[in-house]
Amino acid sequence: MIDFELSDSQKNIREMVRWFAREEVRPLALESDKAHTVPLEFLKKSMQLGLGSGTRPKALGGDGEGAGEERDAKGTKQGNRVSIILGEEIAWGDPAVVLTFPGPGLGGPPVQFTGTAEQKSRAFGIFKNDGVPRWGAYALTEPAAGSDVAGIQATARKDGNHYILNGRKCYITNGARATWNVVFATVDKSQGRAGHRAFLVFKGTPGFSVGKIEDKLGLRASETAELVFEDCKVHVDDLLGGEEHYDKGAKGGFTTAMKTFDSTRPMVAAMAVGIARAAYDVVHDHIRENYLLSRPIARYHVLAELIANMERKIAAARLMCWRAAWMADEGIPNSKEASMSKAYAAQVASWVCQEAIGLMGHLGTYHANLVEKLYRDVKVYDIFEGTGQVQRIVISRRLLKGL
Amino acid sequence: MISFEPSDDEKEILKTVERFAEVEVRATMRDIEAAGRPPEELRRKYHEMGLGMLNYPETVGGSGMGQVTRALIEEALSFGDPGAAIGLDGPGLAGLAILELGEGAHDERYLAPFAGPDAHLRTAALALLEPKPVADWCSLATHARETAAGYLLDGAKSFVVNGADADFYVVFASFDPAKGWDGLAAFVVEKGTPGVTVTEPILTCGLNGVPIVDLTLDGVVVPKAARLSGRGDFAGGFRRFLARARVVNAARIVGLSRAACEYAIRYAEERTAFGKPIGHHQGLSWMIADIATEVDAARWMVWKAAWEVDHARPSAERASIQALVQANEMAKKVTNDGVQVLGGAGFIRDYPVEKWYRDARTLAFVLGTDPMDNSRAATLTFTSDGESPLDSLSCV
Repeated sequence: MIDFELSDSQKNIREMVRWFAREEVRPLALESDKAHTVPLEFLKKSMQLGLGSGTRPKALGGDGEGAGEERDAKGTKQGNRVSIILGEEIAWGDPAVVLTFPGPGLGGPPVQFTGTAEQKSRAFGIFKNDGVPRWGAYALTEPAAGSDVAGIQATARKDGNHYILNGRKCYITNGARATWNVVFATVDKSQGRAGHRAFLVFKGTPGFSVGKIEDKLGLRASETAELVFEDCKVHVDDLLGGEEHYDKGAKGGFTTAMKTFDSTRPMVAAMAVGIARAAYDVVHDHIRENYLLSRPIARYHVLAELIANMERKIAAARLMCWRAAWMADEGIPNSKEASMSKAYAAQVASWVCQEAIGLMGHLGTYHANLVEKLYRDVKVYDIFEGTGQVQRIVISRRLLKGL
Repeated sequence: MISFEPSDDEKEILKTVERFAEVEVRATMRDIEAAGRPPEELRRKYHEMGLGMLNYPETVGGSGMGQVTRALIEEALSFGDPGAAIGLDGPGLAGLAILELGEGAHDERYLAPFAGPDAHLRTAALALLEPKPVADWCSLATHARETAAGYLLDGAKSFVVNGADADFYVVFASFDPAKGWDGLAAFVVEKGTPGVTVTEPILTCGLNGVPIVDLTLDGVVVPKAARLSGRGDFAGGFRRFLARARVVNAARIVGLSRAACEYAIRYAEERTAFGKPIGHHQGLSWMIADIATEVDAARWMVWKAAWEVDHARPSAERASIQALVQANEMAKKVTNDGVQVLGGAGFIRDYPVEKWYRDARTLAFVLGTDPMDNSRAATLTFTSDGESPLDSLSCV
């Protein structure tokens, strides 16, 4: 039955996260943007709440029910729906701080989808309830291959019981401080996608080093690192999914990269919705306090139109995320809808932030104003996890046969 | 629990309606357009399928289904043809006005016949809009005055959809524009009432599968019992009626836009230029990706608004406005791009896309204009409690 009501447990989780976003995350937003980091105390608090442990199954050392495992009474998975609800709330608090939460991060889904039991246990086992923040990360993008994932240049050469990795990865969120990275490389460029392999590379592996930490337009509280692999020796046990994963499906590595997107794109889209909502709230208060005076806001038609349209588009973007996440939970192929949600929400959020600054005029450009920061932060939401243009390629390929 | 899956009952009905829309409606839509209304035979079939009174209570012979089901079905019918969808809908939006504003006696007298054996011969029409633009519904120029004999109505109504031979009209008028929403009232004006002049069907841009007329009310006297008073809360009932009507209209807009989008996709796969299907050129493939995304976004907004109406959410009125504005904005883009994809062929009446291009822009005004709705939405935003309206909108 068509329904838009959250379950009671979803409402409870949302209320908790909303509270955390308002009381703990938002107060850090401007300060952490300047400091390029968040306080350790905050990370510990977020760990106590279990945030960031989204795909950590209980059986593998998680200290609580992982959100990815939540099921309803009929046994249908709710994980994707829970994740997008949380993602929106936390990003409302701050879209950069949300990326600093300890946990497997974007590295979680590929390990979850294709890792062997032993690999899952090693990768997820590091997230202990000991108050020490740890991260996983996802290293796909390269200096010469961003959107065109199939064109990665990093190489993996088999040498006995090891693979030798060479190449560079860039723009990797939490890549430097991560305990492990899921690193994509090719064993044979001529094979294209079929040559792709994914590896679990642990920090400290000889030949693996961190290059520069990027200085960015926005999301400045989040660490974005360059990773360098020079004859980096990785044991075959760290080939994600084992050799057989790549034998049975010719494009095992590429599929791992793509399958991740079906869950993460709606999640990133939901974060964009959270950013848009944050900017909208600032503007809403600003208008109520400054422009409203004794006249109903609707008398100012330019404002009425803008406010009504902002609210409407944010609501529409949210439903696009819900739709894609619902499909993922139900096991319905959702690549098209995941891309739609991402393309749409990022576009809406960018527009809302631009107009929010516009509504506040020069005050909107001050660093002390949250919308100034959101305007910088939001831009990358139309870029990472696939640019808006890549989403359109994905969508159109699924609409038009033979494309 | 968030779910986008129709119930088993809804799926069953949809299967039948989709077939009807394709085989009976879409296949004959140019004939319906030429005739200016759906043929009697088609209307009979529609009523035999039990679609006419789907979301009316069982007490008047309806099926008692909710607004979500209604939205799904209107979307499917309008995928066949939006003009026909309206022309087939017996009580139309006037029926929804009686549902929200009438008393038991009104239901019995005006709604129940639409469940009867000759239902397919009956029509009713909503007379809400006027020739002069209004800033909001409070400033309607059609005037009502109480007299010893009943109520005296004077004024003019325009864009009365499916109003050519209506058995009755639901006419909205104002006792006193200074009293705002509380000065408004609605009346049932039956066919043949002296002083009512109905024009010939007006030539409009689109939506030609259903007759659209103007009305003049010159010293029209209706009995006291003809007043729809909203059971003591006219303003509340009027808002609930508008919410329901917007959902129906928005669902129809989504239906026709989905038709345009799917037609454009199939055409782009078959037509070749420069050695490949035109849909394989990125200029078109991205355009198609964008319109398909927009159709989805509006579709879920309509479903959500329908769901809010069914659950009597306080935010249902705002959700219905958002759904309608979203649908209109989407339809402008989608039907325009639909013609564009077909190029020269899109401009020719041998292909259906030019019709959807006209229909979309006509259907948009059945319940007034977007700026009017946006003003209302903004007012609601700033008169709600201190919470962010987006919190209350979707999640509580």
